[in-house]
Amino acid sequence: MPTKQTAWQKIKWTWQPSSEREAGDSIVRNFLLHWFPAKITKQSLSWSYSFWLGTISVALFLILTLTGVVLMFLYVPSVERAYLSVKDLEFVVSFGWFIRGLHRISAHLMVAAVFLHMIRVFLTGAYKNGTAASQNRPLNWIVGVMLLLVTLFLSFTGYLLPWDQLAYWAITVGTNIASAAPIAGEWMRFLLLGGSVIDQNTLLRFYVLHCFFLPLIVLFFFSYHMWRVRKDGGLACVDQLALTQKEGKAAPIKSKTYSLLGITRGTTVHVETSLMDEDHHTVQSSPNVTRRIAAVMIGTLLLTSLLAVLFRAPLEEPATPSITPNPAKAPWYFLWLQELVSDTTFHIGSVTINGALLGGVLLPGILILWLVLWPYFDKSPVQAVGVWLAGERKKQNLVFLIVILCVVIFTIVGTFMRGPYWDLYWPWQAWPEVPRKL
Amino acid sequence: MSDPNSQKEDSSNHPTHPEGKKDNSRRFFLARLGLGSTLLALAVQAYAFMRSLVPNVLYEGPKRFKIGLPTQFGEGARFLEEKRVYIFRERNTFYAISAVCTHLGCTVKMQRLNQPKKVSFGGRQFEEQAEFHCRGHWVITNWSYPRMMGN
Repeated sequence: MPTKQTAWQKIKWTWQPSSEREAGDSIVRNFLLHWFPAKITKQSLSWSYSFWLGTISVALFLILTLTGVVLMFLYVPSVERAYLSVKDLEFVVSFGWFIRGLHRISAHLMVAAVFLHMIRVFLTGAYKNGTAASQNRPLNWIVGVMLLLVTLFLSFTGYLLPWDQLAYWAITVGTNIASAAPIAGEWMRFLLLGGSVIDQNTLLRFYVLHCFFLPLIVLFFFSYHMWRVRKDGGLACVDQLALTQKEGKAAPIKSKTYSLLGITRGTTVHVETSLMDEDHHTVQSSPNVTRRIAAVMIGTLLLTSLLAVLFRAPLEEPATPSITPNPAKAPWYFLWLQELVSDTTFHIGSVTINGALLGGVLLPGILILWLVLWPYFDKSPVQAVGVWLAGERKKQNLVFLIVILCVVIFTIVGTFMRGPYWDLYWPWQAWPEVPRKL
Repeated sequence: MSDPNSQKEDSSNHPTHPEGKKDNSRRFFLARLGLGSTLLALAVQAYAFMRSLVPNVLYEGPKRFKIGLPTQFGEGARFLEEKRVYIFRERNTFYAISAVCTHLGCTVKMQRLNQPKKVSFGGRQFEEQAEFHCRGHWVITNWSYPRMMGN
């Protein structure tokens, strides 16, 4: 480090280190940068390995937090004023339409990004442990599934807040599906709604869950998720690198001996390392990782801003309990569930087999359980860790992709092909006029 | 997709590398342009966020309002609770005085004096017939009822 530094140099040297030593030092000396390892493999930086979907999810969460805080000053969680405050946001508040649009687009994209991230991790076998000691990637996979569920719940709670017809009936459908759960279903619905009907209690509970509790839970799980990634030795592709390195004897090297009170210098018991040519495979985190994260974050903000300008957030009529839209649909990320519910409802004579239980609770419950437990049933070899569509995991990847495809198909059918009275229509087919009030 | 093995992200090749030479190459110019544009875009977004918190429309009551017809007001004082204002009538003269205390904004209560007080204000003599008491802070103000004596 130069002996005389300007104030600007003191601020920026950790972000733009001018030597290898500064680059290593910056990780230790910068509060934000201590999150990262000092060095990172080039494979971990690859765009085509991970598509940086995890970082995109974080960027979207940050955008949601910032826009959400601003919206909290302007939105009123009261059934009499909620709709009017959202209308104010759209038409009276300066840039209100943009902030609301950015918030909505980021919410939808975050659900998609987290979903895609999960697919990527599965297809690369990154939920499997590699060769390093005390790895527990299956646990981190479970944390990831929890994060996906919390993300969906965050989006669901936010969906109600505009208190328009779209919001009211989407939550009506969603909570009624959930109430089909055996034993605790009705009680869960009662607790969630704060009563039997969707009213002021519901709005307030959803608001507090959306603005406080669920983001807190996301922060907690996310912190642990990232800590686990570091503890497991980084991304799974790093394990592949370790497997391909040849073991060999190396001369004893100067290393550190850790004592109770601190770190002392001198030679110690020589340790064989399997990552022999580290210099060839790794780069300094500062500025390589920091630059890519900045690029991903700015790119995400740019994309969401553009989409917010192009696709304005909808605001339908104020919520009216006596008028049900035809059709009444759940939020898009639950439409596959609603489609399953309608497809598993059978009438045999005078008996109705409840689709909400079968398609809305049991099937998705089994799917989530399968997701959570799958890493423990995966017996593929360690060579399949961190490899896209590894041959050793062909069958499980195929099964997974078929399930994902089914979810996507059901979502598309529910979004674009279900019209009035839940009849099937081609996307280009016009819907018939239906009476507003029955 | 870029091949990570072929990339060398050595910081010394950065156009603004402090130990390297600051050059006027196209790369340096474009890097600076990109950085400037990004910062400008972020600044505009930050401004939009801050500006949205400044209200354009207030849903408070109007500052100018009608209180009724003269025939609705008798001699003396009357307090309009929802507007927080005292209306005084002396024959054909009307006074409207805000009941919002100038100290900290409490609503003051008018207290008629048993015996009028003589006060001097601006070199002139006045007879004080009532006082305004702030119950919240025990502030007594007589500013708001100037009543000229005699002549």
